[in-house]
Amino acid sequence: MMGQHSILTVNNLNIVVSTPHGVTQTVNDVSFELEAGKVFGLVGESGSGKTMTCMSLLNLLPDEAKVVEGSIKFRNKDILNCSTEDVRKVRGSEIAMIMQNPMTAFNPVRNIGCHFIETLRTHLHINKHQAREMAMAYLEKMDLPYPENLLKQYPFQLSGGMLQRVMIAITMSLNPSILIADEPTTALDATNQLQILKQLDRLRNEYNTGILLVSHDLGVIAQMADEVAVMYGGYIVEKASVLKLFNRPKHPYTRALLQSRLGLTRRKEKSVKRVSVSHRNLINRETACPFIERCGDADHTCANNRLELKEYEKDHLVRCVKLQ
Amino acid sequence: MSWFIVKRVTSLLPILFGISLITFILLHLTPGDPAAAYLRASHIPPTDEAVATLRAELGLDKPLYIQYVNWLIKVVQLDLGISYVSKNSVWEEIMLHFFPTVQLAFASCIFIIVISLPIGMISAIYRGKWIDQFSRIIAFVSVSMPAFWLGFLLIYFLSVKLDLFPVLGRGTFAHLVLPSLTLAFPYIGTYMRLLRTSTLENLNEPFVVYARARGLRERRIVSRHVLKKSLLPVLTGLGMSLGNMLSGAVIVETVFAWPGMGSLFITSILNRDYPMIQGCLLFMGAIFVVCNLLVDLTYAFLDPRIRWEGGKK
Ligand SMILES: Nc1ncnc2c1ncn2[C@@H]1O[C@H](COP(=O)(O)OP(=O)(O)OP(=O)(O)O)[C@@H](O)[C@H]1O
Ligand code: SF4
Ligand SMILES: [Mg+2]
Repeated sequence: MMGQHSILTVNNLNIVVSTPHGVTQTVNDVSFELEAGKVFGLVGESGSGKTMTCMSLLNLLPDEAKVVEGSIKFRNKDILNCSTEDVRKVRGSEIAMIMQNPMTAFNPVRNIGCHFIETLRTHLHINKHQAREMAMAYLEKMDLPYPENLLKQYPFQLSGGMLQRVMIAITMSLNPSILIADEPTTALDATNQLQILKQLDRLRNEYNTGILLVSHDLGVIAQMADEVAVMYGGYIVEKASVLKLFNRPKHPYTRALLQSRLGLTRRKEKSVKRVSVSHRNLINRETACPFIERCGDADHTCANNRLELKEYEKDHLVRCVKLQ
Repeated sequence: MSWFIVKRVTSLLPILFGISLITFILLHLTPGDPAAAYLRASHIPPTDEAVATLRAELGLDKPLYIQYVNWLIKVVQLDLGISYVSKNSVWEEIMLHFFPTVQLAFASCIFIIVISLPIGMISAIYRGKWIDQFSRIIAFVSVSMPAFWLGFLLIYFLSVKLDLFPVLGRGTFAHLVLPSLTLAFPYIGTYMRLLRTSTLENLNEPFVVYARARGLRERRIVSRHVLKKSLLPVLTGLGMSLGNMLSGAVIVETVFAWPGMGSLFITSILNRDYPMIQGCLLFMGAIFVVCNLLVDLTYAFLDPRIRWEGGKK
């Protein structure tokens, strides 16, 4: 594909989570690329591994989770294998992140100014005064009124939408080449959602930032993304340009997802033949399609073929035996 | 902030009133006649006649509420009466014993803070490592070891054997070390573990993840973000403990012959020295209330959420 233009390349990423109940593979064979000025959308239901994927890009996985295979390359840097100090320098300044819940992302006992200024001064050689001026300038750019007051305010005094905009302002001020936005609008109401999306769009256009946009809201993805990957059970099951994916979805899961969005879930669904219980025991977890238990098109071939993400047509990848 | 202080201070008045009422009633409900106790303390045989005269003299024959009002009026003027035993002013006796207690309590607080906070913090950051195991052991020992035993051990090894510190009494700075360490020891384990727990909780908070995602150095995240927030629950406890220590540490004071509030209180109980008991109870109650106020104010100072809530109303 368009390898040379990509800034961040994720290749064959596999993440396992160890809990007291055992070890589970939460991200499987995930590969994608982020390009400057492009938005890459990642959709999928809750628990499909979206956040895990995001966190690994900054090498910030929780203690229980571990990357067991694959690589993450940022320009020429191997994120997973360079020193702690090297990754730290990349965080915020080169690859920035916007958190899902703005209300909990800030330290409740420190004010906005503290958060903003410390971030600037960590990455830039400027004094407190310069950092303050800079912070105010960027807050103003985000259409946040009275930036001087805002810096003195504490997170609990601001609304979720305002905090989200503060996060974007912090991001902008360091002009990173990649922004990871993990469900940036989920915690917000409709008006605020629109505002945030507008600002993200600006970030992409004015600063040429490459954005990884995670959402389970297909509307948001359709509006923003250039390319989309659909995740299910830790796998990317379909990946294509936004037009192709929405107009001609191929994978049964993507189709179900789009149908349910349009309210077209047909009654027929009830009669969908599921893999019968007796068959279920025969399913080889190692090789079976992750969607097999909910798929209407499933049959024995789905249970015993190790699935790969293959080209259905140019730049349209699907992980399904029936479509290859 | 100033609004918050005013609000908190005024809310103390009813509490103090309640304490005075309870102190007064409690003592008059307990069996035993104060007049008889007075006579016994003065080595006068408590004949019926002598008791009756004294009751009239002390105002004990009046109805309870009048006694209370009279007592309260005096209390407000810091006149807590005269000790039956020493015949000195109760207030002066308390002041005399309070200063050594304050000394002991603050020295203990310094021990608690200096020892438990760093270890608690570090054992959270290096969870499961040797320092964490070590702190677990200290915590276990510290909460299960009786104070008198620890006191005697310290005296035996550090004073008698090694001759590092004076054995008993009060005077130089060196006299302060062993008793305050003994007093601090049980708290050290508690606060070490408390800080460890709250630090661990905070280390998993999204704001720490976001701080890391912004590229902050780990050192700064811990010192500027995690520490301050983790200290809040410790602070509440510490204020209560300070109140506890300021109202006297009976066992430690006895072991080290420390002339503090604890020994004053126990002696007055043994002597049935009613005005003294009343004075001590009231004084300790007031100390607790003031410590609570200090905790609240510090809390508000550290946690803006409380400060604002207080200011709005
Ligand atoms: N700290 C953790 N400990 C154990 N398991 C975890 C942990 N975090 C996530 N998981 C598991 O990993 C899987 C992927 O989680 P992830 O948070 O990446 O999902 P997600 O796609 O972001 O979902 P959501 O839309 O709810 O945010 C889930 O099945 C979850 O149960
Ligand atoms: S491989 Fe089989 S079960 Fe999986 S999505 Fe395709 S048809 Fe459905
Ligand atoms: Mg998530």
